[in-house]
Amino acid sequence: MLDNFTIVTKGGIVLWSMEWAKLKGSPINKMIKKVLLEERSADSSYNTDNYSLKWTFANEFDLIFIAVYQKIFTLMYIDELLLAVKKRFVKMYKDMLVAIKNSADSIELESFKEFDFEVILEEVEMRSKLQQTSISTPKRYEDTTKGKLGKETKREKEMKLGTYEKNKKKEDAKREKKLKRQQDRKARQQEDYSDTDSGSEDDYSEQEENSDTSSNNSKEDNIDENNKENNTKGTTGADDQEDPEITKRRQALIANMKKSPMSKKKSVADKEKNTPEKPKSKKEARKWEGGELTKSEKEALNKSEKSAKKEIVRETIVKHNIDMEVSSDEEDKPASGFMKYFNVLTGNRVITKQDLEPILNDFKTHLTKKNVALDIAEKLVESVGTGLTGKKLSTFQGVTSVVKQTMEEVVTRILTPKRNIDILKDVQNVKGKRPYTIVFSGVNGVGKSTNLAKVCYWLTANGFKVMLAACDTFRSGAIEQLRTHAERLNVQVFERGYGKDAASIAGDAINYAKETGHDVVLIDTTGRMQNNEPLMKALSKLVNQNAADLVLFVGEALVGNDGVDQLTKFDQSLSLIADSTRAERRTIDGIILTKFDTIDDKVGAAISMVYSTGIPIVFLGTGQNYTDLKRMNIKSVVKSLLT
Amino acid sequence: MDKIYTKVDGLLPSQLSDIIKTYYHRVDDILKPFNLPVSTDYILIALFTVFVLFVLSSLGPSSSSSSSSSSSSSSSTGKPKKKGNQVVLTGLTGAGKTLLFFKLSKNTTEINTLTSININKGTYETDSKKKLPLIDAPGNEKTRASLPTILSNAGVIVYVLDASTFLDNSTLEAQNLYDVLTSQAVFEKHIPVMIFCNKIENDGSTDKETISSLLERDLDDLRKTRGATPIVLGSDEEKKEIYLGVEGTAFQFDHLPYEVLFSSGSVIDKNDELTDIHQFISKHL
Repeated sequence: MLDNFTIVTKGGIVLWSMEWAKLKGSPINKMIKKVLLEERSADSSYNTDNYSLKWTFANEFDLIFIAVYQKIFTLMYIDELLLAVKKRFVKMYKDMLVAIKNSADSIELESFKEFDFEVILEEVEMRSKLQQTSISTPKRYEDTTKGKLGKETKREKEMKLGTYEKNKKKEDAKREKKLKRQQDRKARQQEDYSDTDSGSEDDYSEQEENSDTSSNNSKEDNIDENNKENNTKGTTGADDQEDPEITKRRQALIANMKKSPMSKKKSVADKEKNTPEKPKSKKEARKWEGGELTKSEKEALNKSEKSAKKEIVRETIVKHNIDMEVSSDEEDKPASGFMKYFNVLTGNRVITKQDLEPILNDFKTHLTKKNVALDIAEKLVESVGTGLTGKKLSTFQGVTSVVKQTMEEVVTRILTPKRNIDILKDVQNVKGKRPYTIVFSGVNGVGKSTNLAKVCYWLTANGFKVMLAACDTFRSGAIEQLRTHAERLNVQVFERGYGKDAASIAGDAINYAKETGHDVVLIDTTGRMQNNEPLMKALSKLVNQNAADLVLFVGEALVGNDGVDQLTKFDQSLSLIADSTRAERRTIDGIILTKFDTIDDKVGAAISMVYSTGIPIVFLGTGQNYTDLKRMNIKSVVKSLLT
Repeated sequence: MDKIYTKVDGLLPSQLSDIIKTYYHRVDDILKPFNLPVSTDYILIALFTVFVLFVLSSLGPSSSSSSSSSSSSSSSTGKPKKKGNQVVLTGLTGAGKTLLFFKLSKNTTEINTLTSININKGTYETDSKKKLPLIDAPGNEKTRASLPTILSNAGVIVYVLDASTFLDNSTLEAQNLYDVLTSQAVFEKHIPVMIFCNKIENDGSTDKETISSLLERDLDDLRKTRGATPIVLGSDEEKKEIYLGVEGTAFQFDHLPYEVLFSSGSVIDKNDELTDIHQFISKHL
């Protein structure tokens, strides 16, 4: 069931929270960091440890509503609950929320304590249960018709009783006793019947309980008979009132829900005994009787009236729903004509989904034109959409400009790395103890060796002693290429020729570097396609066996949708042959995006790769010279993406 | 036919007066059945004035704000530039910034907080009853890009760090502090920074002297490595990397042209008045 429900501002202030069970760890914080801050709010739920989280935004007030529940439960009503709570909360505290948005210290937490969450929860739960019962498979439908028939026979029975009472009030107690006995006998008969009929013990006990209540009913019928006439007017009067009626129905519904299996069973038994009669002809009389019964009797009666009552409750709820929808329509309805312009002037215009849709579609096509992978463009646009729906526009502000501004923020946020990879500092830290190892991986022909040489140049320029390890033992000419670079850069190459195991060559290279006092070992690997599993395993072995300090993925900026696939497959493959001593999964640490000078403003690959994996871009390759290794300027990438 | 519009008829170009005429008659037709006591002219004039006033009033605040921002950015060219008057709380996520925000603005810590996504705005009142805007910046790594903008109007910066977990995150902390200290606003406007070591109530928290010396050592390293990273691609950011402290000597906070103070305390401790922070803010603003 629900473990926690929290209403929090985007500034991180918890306005209202309720906890049913103590949360282990901090799943909400995790969700905010992993989903909301990484612009993945297009997803509808988030799973962590044992919890599932769902959320919704009230963008007008910068609020987030978060529901946390145990992963093993599939709660159908969470979405509905979130929306209902949002509507109620925003309505209740509108002024306060505006004040908080403008200045957070105007908050008065006391006032939020009276928020009537339980009522909403109860209502939503009820509705969902109702839906669940109303959704029925063919088999269950059969059952219910049978049940109806059975119930009607019972109703029939009681109605006989009722009419009898009505017509012959002055009848003596003897007659009544006789009737009661008759009733008891029937019940007992029924019990016996079901005893033989039902196989399991559970069913038996249910039967027993059931027949008990029916016999009780008949007793009470007799006892109360004298009072009945006096009570009639009073109870019908009460029935006219709205609220007790609803609560009564609700109780009835709960009772029904609890007892539905046995009433079903019982009805089968009833059916076998009695011949069913036409139900509709006597419906009126039953209603009349329902008005003057005591509570326990009502419950019993309700059991028989199950379907009818349920229908009524459902009707009222549907009605209620319609009411709610109508009122909300009035609120959200985009103003037409003059009022629209008026709202533009006063800055009261709220961004609606309809406003956003065409603009977001334009942005999506724009992004794909800039080489962003299609599914990622979709997710991004959706994330921006959820973040904007319901926000208020300020004076003379167009929706397009707001979307663009938000898009800028979102993309900036995505490209901002979670941690700065400072290779020089890392090398400095291990200097003298052991060589720092960097593995260059990637598909064929993306420029692994070239960029390895550039990094080598940069490291030597910063005063480190670098050694290259030729672990591309497959492609002809790879070692010679590396040797040429090494000669020009005046560094040493460690090589063992072609066709050997790359992982062991890398190991030897590291040992050799340690002996000779090198600070950094740059390991060149064979280019491989991400789908080639044996080769991917070999890469995983190379990385894990030698405990490389940094694994870089070299990718082309030219690549489109395939870039994401390459990167994710490489990332996953590193844990194929995992080192069991490492607590965390080995992942790609950084990306070198090559051929960045050839793409003009089609910078989409950068966004696609970073968004899909969260791996930061460490360097950009921008030319054929050793100095053409640059850091990425997030601002200019965002700029060229959105213009 | 002594309508007002006929008087201005001759003054306007014929096309325009035609348009006015047609619209005037149209409105006149609509209003006739109501038999209003005032003539249509006055109603139109009144409506028009209301409209103009409305446009002016809605334009008012936005135009004034834009002019003020442009003046603040262009005015000061001397050294150091004029700094803003905001009290900005910054630091890594989970350091306790939002809680400190409430302690400073409302003197309460009876509040639950989660990871912030957006900034929180509030007011801080100094001992001399001066009201200053108080800004609580989000600390998560992903929001780092927004930091320069937030810092640009700062008058003082309170950098909050978690002293109880400092030893595990010292490198991260140093990197973040480096970004704050070398941000354009701080460097050009000489904004004073207080480094507040929070959560000293926890066992095993590091004292501020150790934190200070560790940060100095890390910043010294960062100075070297950051300066040596390949230049940033893109023409608009070819400004030279800001160098912290004095070249040739080991980095010390004293070398900075602006004040960097250390303080430690506990935000959640009700008895901790955080006098250092209050004094620091009063002194500089």
